[in-house]
Amino acid sequence: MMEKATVLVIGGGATGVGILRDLAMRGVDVMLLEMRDMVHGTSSRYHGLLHSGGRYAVKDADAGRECIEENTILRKIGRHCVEATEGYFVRLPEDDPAYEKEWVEACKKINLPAIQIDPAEAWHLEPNLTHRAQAVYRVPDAAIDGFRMAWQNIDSAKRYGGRVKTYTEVVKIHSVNGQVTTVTVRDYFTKQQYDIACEFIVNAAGPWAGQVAACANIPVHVQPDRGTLVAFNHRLTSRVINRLHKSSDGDIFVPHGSITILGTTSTTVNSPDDTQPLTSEVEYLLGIGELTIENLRGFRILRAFCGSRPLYTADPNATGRGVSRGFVILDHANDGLKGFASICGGKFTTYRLMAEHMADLVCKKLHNTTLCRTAIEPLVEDVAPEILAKARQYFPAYGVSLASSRLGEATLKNVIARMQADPTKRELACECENVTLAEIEEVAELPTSHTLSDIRRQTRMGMGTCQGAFCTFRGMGLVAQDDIIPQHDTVKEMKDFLQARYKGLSPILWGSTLREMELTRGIYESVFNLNGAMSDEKK
Amino acid sequence: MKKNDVLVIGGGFSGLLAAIAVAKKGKAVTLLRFGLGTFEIGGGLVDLMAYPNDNRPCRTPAEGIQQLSPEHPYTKLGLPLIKKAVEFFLNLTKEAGYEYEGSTTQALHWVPTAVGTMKPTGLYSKTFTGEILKNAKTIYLVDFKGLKDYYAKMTEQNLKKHWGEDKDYKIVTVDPHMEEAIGGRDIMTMDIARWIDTKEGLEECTKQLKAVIKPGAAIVLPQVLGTRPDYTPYTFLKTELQCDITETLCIPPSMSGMRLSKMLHDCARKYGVKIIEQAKATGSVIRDGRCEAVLVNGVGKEHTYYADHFILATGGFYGSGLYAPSAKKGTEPIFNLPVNLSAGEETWANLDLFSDKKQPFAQVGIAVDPEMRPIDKKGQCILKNVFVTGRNLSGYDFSFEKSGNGVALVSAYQAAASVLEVK
Repeated sequence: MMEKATVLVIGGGATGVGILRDLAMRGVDVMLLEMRDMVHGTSSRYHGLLHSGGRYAVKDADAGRECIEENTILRKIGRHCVEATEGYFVRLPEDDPAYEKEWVEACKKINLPAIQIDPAEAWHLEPNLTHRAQAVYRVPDAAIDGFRMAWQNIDSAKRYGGRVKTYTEVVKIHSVNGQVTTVTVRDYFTKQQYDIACEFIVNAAGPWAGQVAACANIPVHVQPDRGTLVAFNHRLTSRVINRLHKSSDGDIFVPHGSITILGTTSTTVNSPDDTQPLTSEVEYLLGIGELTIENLRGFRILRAFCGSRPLYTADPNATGRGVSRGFVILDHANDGLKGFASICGGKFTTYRLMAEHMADLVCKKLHNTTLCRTAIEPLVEDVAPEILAKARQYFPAYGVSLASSRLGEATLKNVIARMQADPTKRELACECENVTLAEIEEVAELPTSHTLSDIRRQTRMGMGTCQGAFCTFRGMGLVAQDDIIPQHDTVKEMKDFLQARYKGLSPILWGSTLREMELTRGIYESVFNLNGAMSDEKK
Repeated sequence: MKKNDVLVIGGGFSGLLAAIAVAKKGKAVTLLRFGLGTFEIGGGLVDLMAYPNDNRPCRTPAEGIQQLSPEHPYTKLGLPLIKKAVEFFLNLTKEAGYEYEGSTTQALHWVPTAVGTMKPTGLYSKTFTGEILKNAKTIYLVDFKGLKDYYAKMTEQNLKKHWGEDKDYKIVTVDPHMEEAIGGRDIMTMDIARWIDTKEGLEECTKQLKAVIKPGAAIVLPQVLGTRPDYTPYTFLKTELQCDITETLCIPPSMSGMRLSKMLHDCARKYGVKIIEQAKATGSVIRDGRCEAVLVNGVGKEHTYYADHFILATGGFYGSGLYAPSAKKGTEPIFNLPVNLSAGEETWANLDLFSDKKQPFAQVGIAVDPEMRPIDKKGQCILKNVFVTGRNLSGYDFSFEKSGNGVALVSAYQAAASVLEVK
């Protein structure tokens, strides 16, 4: 029998999971389709900045206002994903003083509290900040973990009956008499195609939205815009640091736990899959970044990464930072196809609001009158203290709070049970990120885990200082040992995993990264001969 | 302070070999070390050459070496010298009672890894041989209860792919009785090797294996056959079980690498090499194209080490012998030697980590003349009494080619020969 869902949401980024949760909470039968793994696209390839709105205040007051409102909401409903760092806007001698005045006025207009402080006080609190700062303002910026926020949305949606299919690519959208009826999808691994019946389709594919709309022969002009970022292996500042000037490249630093992200660049590209960062981009970012943090080059870079902004414009000639960062909803009933709508543009900070507006439209069409509750209901409940106390018996001391916010209560309980039952599973597979064998095993058994990289995105295994030098072997060994993902080509899998790490390392191969690369290649190429094993495949 | 004949900087495979080679000829040698080299990574094997051009292996190391470009260190050193260096190393191991096997002219020697892949090498201890898997009808894969970083099922899966499904593969788990450690701390191959070092441990392990293993099979073990360069556990197990045995290569720390390290340290001590630990060389005194001394920073004071000859075996980027502050710059901190950074910014690294091409960044290093003395862009010798060896050299990709310890050995041997000849 054909699978069916009342509403299909296409795209497993922040917007898609937000819509999934919102609709599920309103009692709608909803299923999300993602062509690869959840959050593999733009929602995990950005600053991780929960905007205060300061960046958009002057140019785009509406976007700025949305930011400060959503910022306030997300701190409450997603407090396990948000690090309330606050932020500084810093004007340097090369920045236009006239812009500062304009900015202060604009912030007032959108009710964004920007409080001026003495630069000397800012240096006192942020020793790495340049003493060339002319003016400094405090704003309620924060750091947000995009992976965690998405997973918590999904977990919450699942509790309300929402469903998710990963590695499921939309091939064709079918209609009868101008009304959407079914979608043909393709399984990424088996390449098999099959149909899913539905009443309504939401296109939330971000920079891929144009491709999805094309499956229904509807033109949607989304311009992918490349943004490269650099992650430092240090917390350079306690707060988010923005340059106080007209928004430009490389002018934001966001601290996350023990790392800092600097970005971004902005380049129009043809394909949203064009995400290989380049050495020249990293050099360019460092050149700008060291105006704000002068000893920037003295810090180790962990990796570079690159995402694709989904810029939407009705004007096909507008590009880059000229395009609004607001969002639009396109009801394709206006194009003659009922039961199909696209949501374009926007940004991570406003994902919940975007989801609310889209869900409102869908519910109206479905004659569902339930109100949106995503602004008031927390994504996850706090993990009970007795469970945390139990976790402390088995977890490394400093790993408990990390793991509990990463996993949520239900999964954490399962991991504890595994550790209790089998002491060998208490071993750390990933020493950098404190991930135990039990946690990898638990996540590997989820139906959405198909590859080592899927396990990485949920556990953070391989995302720390050694970038997979040790845990690649361990993670793979464990998965093979317990036959969790059967019929695996472990050699290919390890190569793919290391290649994904290498993608962010190859543009920054100097200093400690070059040294670390000698070790990684020493293990996987020299000792394990994964490369030579590839030639066996060719024979 | 008394002047040395030779000062070796670096205590890895290359530095130790160079020090032993000159000390053996009666020279007064001091070796400065800061770190442990890569013994614990490389698994104690001496890779000579397996993939000279692409990812198709050559038949013998010598055949592969003859296909290399003129910039490759091996090409500069030449096959006759490479053979002599190999001879020198094999004699050392014989002398030490832990004889290695292999040569430049025999077919590549393939060794099983913990992943279950096969890796080609040149010179090896007897505990590593994939050869025994070829004709074995039954292959036992031995695991140890609680051992970290060993996943016998993955080893089995990939060995099966390589050697075929028609053999019988069996996983056997030995209990080393370390219950109290399980879940409390990591149990490493070193723990098991120490257990097997003891008479009781070896006998207990043998007893447990004897109970399940039938004679005439092949046995695949993690690197646990003792912590010392001593074949006693290997021979005992082999005789008692009447089976062929091989160890596998795994992620660090490598027990077999530590055996090789211990063997070379014993040897260096025997020939009177003075080893100074925790000595990080930071600069040098140069006069008229010659080095007079090397400076070492201690706690709050600087020490000066004088010598007639200097051997620089500081291990390239991994060993901190070289450092790249940016993508455009490479430095050598002790003698300030020029570092070859010919690759352009965007061609510095291949698009893929694993491919059929050597990595440009891996071939960055110091260019030398056939005597192993550093040269400038025009090919002129920069320092007449300084000799560069091992991973500091430019022109080769150790991990792609499988040539790491081979280049380290032969360049050390040449450096020693140069020291002994140059007046």
